[in-house]
Parts: sequence; structure tokens; C-alpha cells
Amino acid sequence: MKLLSRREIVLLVSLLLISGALFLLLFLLRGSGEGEWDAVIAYRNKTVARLPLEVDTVYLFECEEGVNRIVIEGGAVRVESADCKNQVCVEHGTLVPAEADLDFISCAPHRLLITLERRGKE
Amino acid sequence: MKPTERLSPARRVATAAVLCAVSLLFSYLESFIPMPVPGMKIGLANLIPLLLLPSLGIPTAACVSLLRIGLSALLFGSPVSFLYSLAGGIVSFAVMALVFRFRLFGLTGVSVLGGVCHNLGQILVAIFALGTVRIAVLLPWLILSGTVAGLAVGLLGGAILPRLRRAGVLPEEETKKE
Repeated sequence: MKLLSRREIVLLVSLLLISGALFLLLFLLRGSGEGEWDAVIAYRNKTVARLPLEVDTVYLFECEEGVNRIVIEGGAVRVESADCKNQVCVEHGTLVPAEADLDFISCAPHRLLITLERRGKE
Repeated sequence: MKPTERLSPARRVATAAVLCAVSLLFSYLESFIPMPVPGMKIGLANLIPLLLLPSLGIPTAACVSLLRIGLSALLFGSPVSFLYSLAGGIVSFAVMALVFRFRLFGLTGVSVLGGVCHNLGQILVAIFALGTVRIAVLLPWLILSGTVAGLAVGLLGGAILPRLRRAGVLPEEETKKE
């Protein structure tokens, strides 16, 4: 039995091309990050806090599922520590305005979502 | 026994159970391998359904897959991780079974599509769980990793299957029902 048929090679190449095209698309969609931004903290799809990025603060997010310590510092937001199991939100690192349209910090166990929004949008 | 001979029902169940245990072990070991993007993994556990599809058939492979997902969530996971792997598992297995059934691709193609669809299923759940489509930014990463991991697992399966058949562990494909 042949390990790779011609069709399979075509399949592999097209999948690689699709992911490559998506990478390129995401790269092109990167914003300039200019303007004033808020860190929007949402729990169970509802906004619970809106914090200006230019003010350095520490926001302690608490819900029945657990606690996340959210830090705003130098125009970027990150989760400093969390009591969840997977620590995806902590390992995500900082969230900056240039990537605001694409990036976010999420803590699936706590159903927490942190995004950036341009101020005065709503 | 000759590899072309049909396995007895008891032996089929025993073989499927042993392989299910193997895939459970793979799931467990894989949870220790750190990955740069959440949801990214090798999917070594998928090797087992991949070997079962062309030997013991689609229903057996489906049972082993579902059992593995349930047991692995019960033993090492959480309700949330169960939901994610179940969604990934169902989408991935459905596509693999269809591709296999209609002979669209060989074992490697089945595995690659399974890997990619597993990740697509997980992203779909994540979109609902987090209430945002932004998670789709992980899409290119997960298509890429699904392809590469699926290729690796598929090639491995293609190398192992003939050996298991020669050893009499797995039968030839049972295409016709008597």
C-alpha cells in the first residue's frame, strides 16, 4: 500500500495553503493601535468592567468559578494570576491595542473574556 | 490464525477493549506535552480508531472513540474538557468514517482530515462557550497543526496496520456482510 497517494498530497498542500492564507489575512488585519482603548472584562457574555488602558491598575475579578488578578500596565492588559486549572489566561501574556481586533484573553473555566475596545465607540 | 479469517465476536470485543485502553494511555501521556496554542495536540489517541476503521469496521471504531473520550474526561479531565473533546471527537470521527467509507482518501488522508476537523469542532464549541467569534484567530494555527499531526499519525498508522495484521491482531477489512 502506498503511504501517500497523489490525492493526499493535493489535500495536504491545499490545507497548508488555506492555513497560510488565513495567517496572511490575520497579519493584514492588524490595526495601528492608535487612539484610546478600554480593556473590557466580560463574564458569561456580559460586560462587568471597562478599564481605561492608560491608567495602570490592578483589577481583581471574582466570580463563583474563581478569581483572576487582571493587571493594566504600560498600555497593555494581562492576567497576572488565576486560580484555574489550565492557566491559559496567564500564559497568554499581554494584550495590546495593535492586536485588538484579533486577540483576546480568555479564561474558559471562569467564563471570563478580556478584549480591547476603542473608546467612544458605543 | 490466518489474517484473512474472521475474528470471533469475543475476540473482536477483547481486541477493541485492549486498543481502547491503549488510546486512553495515549490521551493521558499527551496531556503532559505542553503546546504553544490552546487546543493544539498530536492526537496520538486517534491512531487507534484509525487502525480500527479498516479492520473491525466503523461501528467498533466509533464505540472505542466515544469510550476513550468519556473515560479520559472522567479520569483526567473536567466537564468542560469533556465537552471540547466530545465535540472535536464527534466531528472528527464523522468525517473520518465518511472519507473512509467512500474511499475518498487512504489512511493518511483520513487521519489528516480527522485532525483538522477535530480542531474545527473544538473551535465551534469555544465560540459558543466564550460567546465570541474572536477565538477563530486560532483557526490558521489549528488547521496547520491538525494537518501536520494528522499526517504524522496517519503515516504511523499506515506503518503499524500491516504489521498488526500479519501478527493476527487485526483482521483484513470486513466489507461484505454474509
